[in-house]
Amino acid sequence: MASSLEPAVVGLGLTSMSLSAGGVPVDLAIEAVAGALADAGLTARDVDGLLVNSSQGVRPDRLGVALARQGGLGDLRLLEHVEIKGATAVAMIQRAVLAIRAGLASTVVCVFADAPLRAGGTSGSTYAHSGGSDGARGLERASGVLGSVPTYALLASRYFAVSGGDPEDLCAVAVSTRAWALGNPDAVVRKPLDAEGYFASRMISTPLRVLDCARPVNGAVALVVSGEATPGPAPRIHVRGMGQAHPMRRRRAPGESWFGGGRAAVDGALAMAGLTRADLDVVELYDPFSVVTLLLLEEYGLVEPGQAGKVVRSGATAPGGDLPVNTGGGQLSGFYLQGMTPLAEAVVQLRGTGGARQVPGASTALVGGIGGRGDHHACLILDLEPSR
Amino acid sequence: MSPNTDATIPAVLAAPDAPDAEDWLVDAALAPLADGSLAPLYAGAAAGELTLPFCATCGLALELEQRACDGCGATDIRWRPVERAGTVHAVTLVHRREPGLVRVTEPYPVVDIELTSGHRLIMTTLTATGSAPAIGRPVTVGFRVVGGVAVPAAVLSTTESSAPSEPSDAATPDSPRATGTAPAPVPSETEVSQ
Repeated sequence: MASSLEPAVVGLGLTSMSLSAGGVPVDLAIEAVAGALADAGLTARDVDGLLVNSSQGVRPDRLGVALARQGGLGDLRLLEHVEIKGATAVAMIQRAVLAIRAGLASTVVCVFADAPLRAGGTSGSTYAHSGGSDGARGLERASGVLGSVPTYALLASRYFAVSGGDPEDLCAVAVSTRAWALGNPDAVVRKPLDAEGYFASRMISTPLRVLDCARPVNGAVALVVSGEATPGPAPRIHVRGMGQAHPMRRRRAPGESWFGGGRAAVDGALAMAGLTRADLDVVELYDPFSVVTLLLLEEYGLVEPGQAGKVVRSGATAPGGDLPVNTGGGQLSGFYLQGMTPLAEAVVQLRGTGGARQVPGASTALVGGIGGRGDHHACLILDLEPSR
Repeated sequence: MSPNTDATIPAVLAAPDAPDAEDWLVDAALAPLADGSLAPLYAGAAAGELTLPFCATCGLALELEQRACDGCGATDIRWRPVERAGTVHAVTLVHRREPGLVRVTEPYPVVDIELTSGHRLIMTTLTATGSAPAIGRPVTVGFRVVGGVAVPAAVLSTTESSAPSEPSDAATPDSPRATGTAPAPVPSETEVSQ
């Protein structure tokens, strides 16, 4: 039984974003799902599909398909734990749309929840103790590569060596992203930031300062994708284009190991949508570190190679600029819920409910999710207009 | 011994001579799994060799966790010693030090080394240093011992063990200067501006 309408995002639910310990992923997920269903005007009885995205790493409280049972859902036709690292959230939407088009489900909830902040320890400590002792990761950890910051710091150093960028570019990203966060009540950091404040912030791993790093929170986001007419008041947000790219950059000479190869995901999504980069009103990117915003702007062909720093320093990506990027404050100043951060913000912008940070007239958004060390890219073109 | 081993590398850097000594950087809890998926690397390291994977059929340098050659598809992997030499491909000076896991009180370097074999390998330095070597700088490779397991470590110069003393962030005026290492003058080309 195929659905009656083109599948679209019809519901969005966010928990409060907490910077302190408390909550477990399953409870946060249930809260977000309830919010998303209410937003869509639906109940759990209307749901016949659930896709689950958990944080990486093996933790006892990691979200899984048991959420369906624990969360009080009824019989389902689609239930999967999707895993492409950080690219998962965006890929889940792709999976939901394809499943609905294929008649495998009609209304699919996609959810991510995480609670890295624990009593008695910071999120940085949680990550530093993760990774194990086997394989390449075990060797890196024995070499002092704890958590993900040193890894992205290596990436940043290499990117600067190739692109010619410098810490002023990182600063510009942090400042631009913070300016957007000021208008987002869900953003966890809403204190104005200038260059002086940026350069006064604590160095974590050169060239990355604490203000170059995402803000982990305990929280959850859920979206409802449906092919049915739903009673919620919000406009349907259509998935006009989707693409993935999984470049197999090798860790050997002579190619670059740290970046490159993600552009095909955006090219594919735009081609499917029948749109070009000039049609994009807002760009929402996975930005675990400021350098990733610079990198993806270039890698996705949104700016000329080597020009990302210049473009961001010009103010183009900031409020009022021509290329609005991470309009909710991204993961840097908004909240770090992996791929759900850019996804949720794109939905808000296209609905026109962004309040103080609303981009006037935004009707087309690019959402980019990355996983691993830029090893996985999943992109969506979201649009108020359906693709067919 | 590897036929590729550079004869100019002092033997003292190649053979971990005190396997029970504590590492300068990390706690023994971070000892890698010596008999896990990288067992040949650690077995070689214990003997002072840098042992890395190649395709047994076409000879392509493979990644540490690769199980099939992306060049020819062969699944026969040969680990063999390589020249313990390369250049800095990427570098960072880690300021965050996780209590209980990191032993030092000052920032420490992590480098991605492009070896002459073609492999890229992430490591820290053989001994404590507050400097971040410049991308492109040549290095040799010795071994640290973490919890009884020898792991590759970069040697920035043959005199490093006697003079681990380059000031950090010297070329980064905006960042707070790290403290604690002896302020010895160094050639500017060995510093990196990040």
